[in-house]
Amino acid sequence: MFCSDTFDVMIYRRIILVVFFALQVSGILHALFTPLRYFCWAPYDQISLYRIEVQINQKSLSPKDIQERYHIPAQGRENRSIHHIIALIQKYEQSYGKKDNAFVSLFYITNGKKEEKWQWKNTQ
Amino acid sequence: MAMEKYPINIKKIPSHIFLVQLLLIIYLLLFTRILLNIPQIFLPFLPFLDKFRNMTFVSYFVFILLIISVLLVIFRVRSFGIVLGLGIFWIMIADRVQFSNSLSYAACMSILCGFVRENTQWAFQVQVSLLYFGAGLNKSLDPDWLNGQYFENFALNIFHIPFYAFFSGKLPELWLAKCLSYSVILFELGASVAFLFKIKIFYAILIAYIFHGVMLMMTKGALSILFFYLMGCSFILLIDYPKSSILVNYSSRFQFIMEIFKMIDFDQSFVWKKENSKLFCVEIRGKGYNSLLAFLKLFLYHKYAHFLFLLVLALFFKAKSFISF
Repeated sequence: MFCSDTFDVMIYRRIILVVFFALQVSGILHALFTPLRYFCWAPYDQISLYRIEVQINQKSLSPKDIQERYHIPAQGRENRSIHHIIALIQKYEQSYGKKDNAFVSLFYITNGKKEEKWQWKNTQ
Repeated sequence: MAMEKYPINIKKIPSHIFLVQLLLIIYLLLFTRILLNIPQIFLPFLPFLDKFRNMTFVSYFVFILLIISVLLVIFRVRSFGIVLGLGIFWIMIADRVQFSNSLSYAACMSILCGFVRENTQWAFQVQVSLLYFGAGLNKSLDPDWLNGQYFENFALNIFHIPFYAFFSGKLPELWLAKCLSYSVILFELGASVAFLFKIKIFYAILIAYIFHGVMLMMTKGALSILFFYLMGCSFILLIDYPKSSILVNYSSRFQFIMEIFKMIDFDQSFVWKKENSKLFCVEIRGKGYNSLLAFLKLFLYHKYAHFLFLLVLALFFKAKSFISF
């Protein structure tokens, strides 16, 4: 059965659990102020169909190249928030792909509404 | 309670925690790819982790640690449960593409299975409650959920649910979508309170199973199997198993199924009595239950039957290839 803790261990165990849950609560609260839905227990709350197009030096990348670049399919469904895709592209282009001067277009339909477009161009 | 007999008689932990840890490993093996690929560092949530991007030994170290945890967790649930959970979190934090709510939840449950002791069992309640609260709160603040737009798209364009198409056409625009949206929000917020304070826990678990089951049927198995399974794991941990034996009186027409229940009662938590009466009844802490309620009580209080149900369900859905990772 369960082993019993000494009083000190019990206190530390409780403190660790409180921190563990406080981190989760802060994730939930943080999601109130951002469109991102990481670590906030919001599965399947927004469905977006998307398509990514990338041009580097006027040359379009194939869907396979796009998958290799961002580690996600060039076309697909995002079940949490379309801002996860936007943030991923933005972070990639600001870091690993900074020197590529890529021009990225993201077309998406969220929850069946009209299609929207988001674009990114490195100005470097 | 009778002396507990474990299928693997090595650890000294409650059997329901052992069973849940086993189910979590099955989840990782069947429904995720984290044990198949060497983890990478790719646009990590914590930017400083990028410094380890070219140090492949870090990724190999985490991978080997995960494999060791999976292999050894059934022998040492306490320590390897925590290592396994932290390893999963590392994979998600180091590579944001790997993030998933079900994987995060499995990691949390694995950590808690390793960490929780008898006097901190409330942690499981808090964990389940937080999950439902986060989900309910996010939906209740989303305009597309409140005006029915989300559900309309979900049911008509994404999952093509025939009954929704039939009934929504006969009702005012978005009326059914709004009803379903509000029902989901109410259920999730209600469940967060019920599980936190263990209010009518038996009925709360039944309603939660019905909720996840309906979602599963509506989407023909495409949605909610992971959460049906993971919440099922959590429910095994939320039940107050009585210290005294549970009495089961059954007639000969239930003999076959009762023999199975009896065979897998490794903890010997039940006293089985075959009687001539047609009535099927279960007695828990001196309180008797009949018929369907008795069967449901038997099922939920029989941790090995509960475990077997989730295992069969997971294997069935995996075999049907209904799972979307």
